[in-house]
Amino acid sequence: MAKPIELGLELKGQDAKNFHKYIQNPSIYDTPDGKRILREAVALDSSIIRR
Amino acid sequence: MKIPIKDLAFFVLQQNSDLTSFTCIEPELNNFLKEDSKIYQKTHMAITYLVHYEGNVAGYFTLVNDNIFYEHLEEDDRPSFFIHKRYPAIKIARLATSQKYERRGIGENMLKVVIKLALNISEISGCRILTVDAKPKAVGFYIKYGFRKVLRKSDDTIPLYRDFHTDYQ
Repeated sequence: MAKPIELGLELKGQDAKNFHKYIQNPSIYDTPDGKRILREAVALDSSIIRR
Repeated sequence: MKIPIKDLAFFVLQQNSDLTSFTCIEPELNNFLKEDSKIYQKTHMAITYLVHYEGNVAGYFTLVNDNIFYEHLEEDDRPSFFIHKRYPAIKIARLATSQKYERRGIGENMLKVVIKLALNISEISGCRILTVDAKPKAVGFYIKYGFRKVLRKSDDTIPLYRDFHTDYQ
């Protein structure tokens, strides 16, 4: 058996401060590829996933 | 040469899905797909998606509901509707590309579909963050796409997160 999936990301100290700043305005931390992939994801047709 | 997303087929893992064609460089990720993914799928504890190309499993990713908890900050000046210290998230529990198709854009295309699914889910149940525990070799991939790295180190993976609701239209 592989390593189990772990849930919950707990942020303390500097990590909590970093997240606090980030979540107030994520766009200023984003990268050109991050912005592009988000735009392209929005444009995807939901039917791309088949069952 | 990059493989365009239109040439890839994305499927929800089924109990009879043939996984024999998939091998990646991380044994842990091979073991998960071949030994555990169908159990998680059957019990609805995590949902795995397969990417097919040329009749082979070229990649897979696994999603699960998650949350980010962060400790209270004295300088906390969030507006009242953001006072929650837990943020609902979707975790990329696993994401791997077949060794045969590395460096052909499969990872980016999978991430794109992950974001699309997350956007759809967030219309039904609130969530706005993607989380991932990345293998050290994969951290650069996620940073390229705007994920933020957590300084705290866990065992053999590095947690990252990114908001997926910023409007860049």
